[in-house]
Amino acid sequence: MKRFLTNKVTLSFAALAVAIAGVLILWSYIFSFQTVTFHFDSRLGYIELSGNGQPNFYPADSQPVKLKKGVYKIKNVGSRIAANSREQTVNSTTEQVTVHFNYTRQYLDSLYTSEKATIETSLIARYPKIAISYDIVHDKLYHQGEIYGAVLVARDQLSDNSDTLRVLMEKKDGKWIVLTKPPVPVLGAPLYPSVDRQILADINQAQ
Amino acid sequence: MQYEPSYYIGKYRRPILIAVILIVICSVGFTIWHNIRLAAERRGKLPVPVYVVPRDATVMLSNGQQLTTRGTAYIAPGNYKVTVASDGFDTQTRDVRVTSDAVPYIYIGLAGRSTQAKSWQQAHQSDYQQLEILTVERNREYNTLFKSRNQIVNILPIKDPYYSIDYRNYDDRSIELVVWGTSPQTRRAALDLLRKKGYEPTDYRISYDGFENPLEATP
Repeated sequence: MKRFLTNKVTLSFAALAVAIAGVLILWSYIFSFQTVTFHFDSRLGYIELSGNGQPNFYPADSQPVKLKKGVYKIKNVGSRIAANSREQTVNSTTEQVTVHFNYTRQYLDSLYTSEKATIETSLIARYPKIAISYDIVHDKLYHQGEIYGAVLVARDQLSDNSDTLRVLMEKKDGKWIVLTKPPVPVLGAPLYPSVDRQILADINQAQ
Repeated sequence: MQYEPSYYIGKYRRPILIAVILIVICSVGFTIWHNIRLAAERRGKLPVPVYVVPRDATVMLSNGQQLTTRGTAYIAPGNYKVTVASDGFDTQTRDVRVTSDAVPYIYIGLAGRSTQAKSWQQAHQSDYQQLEILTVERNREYNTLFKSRNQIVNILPIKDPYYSIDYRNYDDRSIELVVWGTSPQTRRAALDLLRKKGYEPTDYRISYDGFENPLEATP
């Protein structure tokens, strides 16, 4: 009698333990996924998600998708956009991911040939002294052609204030506006939060 | 006639087993439901420790959320004003910035205004001392966080006969580097030194002492 009771109790608790373990496993599986919405300019290209033990995936712009939590690689794909890739962690706080496309250097250089005169006219109108005292070098467009960066090298290198300066401009509503007021030796990222840090670093490191 | 407990266990073993299993399932289920509810309530919010003296004061955020006076409050990221009030005490209002990279806290002790409140304050000095201890600990955490967020301050100031690099800090825990140099070459050398030490000047606001920007005065 006692043995029968003991066996029944043991079996019941074992079954309960298995049930609880099953519930916990199911719960952790359910919560191992996250719904994420990717935003990118689908007119220019698309993105490829890879990694985390999952097959390559191509999410649509602004469409929520369910992804297993973990680390993915996002690669930009498009004929005129630079094939940059970066890591993206998907966890319980990841809901919206915005991917910015940059044009290729070749395409940006082709755009610059038609913009150069307009840009320099706007810059010199704002700072006439540049035309007299500086040479504009390492001038180029960035991102999707709406950011311009250049280096101003003083012609009089003997002056105590002949520091090389950096200029940053942005095209807004068809007009080029100088963001650096005035151009400075180093462009600090905290002062230009709307401009990608890598663009600023590229301008700063040009000599 | 009284029987041994084992008699009753044997007689009612099935109902007892069912009852035990049901209790366990209900407990587990309630725990799971409670945790899910808590997780949903706290989603997108950050934990902010609260310690207010006196304990029965009201703590209100500028968005209308009432907080506990002791423990942890869960607050959505943002800038708020927190008002602490209690009868007989001077009301206090402070700014609180809740972000994931900050060390927000609400540690406030009210000063007694009425005679009764002043007596209460005298009798509960230990509460105010505990508040002070918590504030000192938080400030220590802030300094550690400030230095970990702005690791460059650990190597500053840098002083050379021809240039120097120092910093000034702002309320939002950001810093501005101050570079002084005798000539363009020495100012560039200062920035090159930062790069050699693993710090990219692009990541900082920088002001230049001793440099008059020729383009500065252009209208």
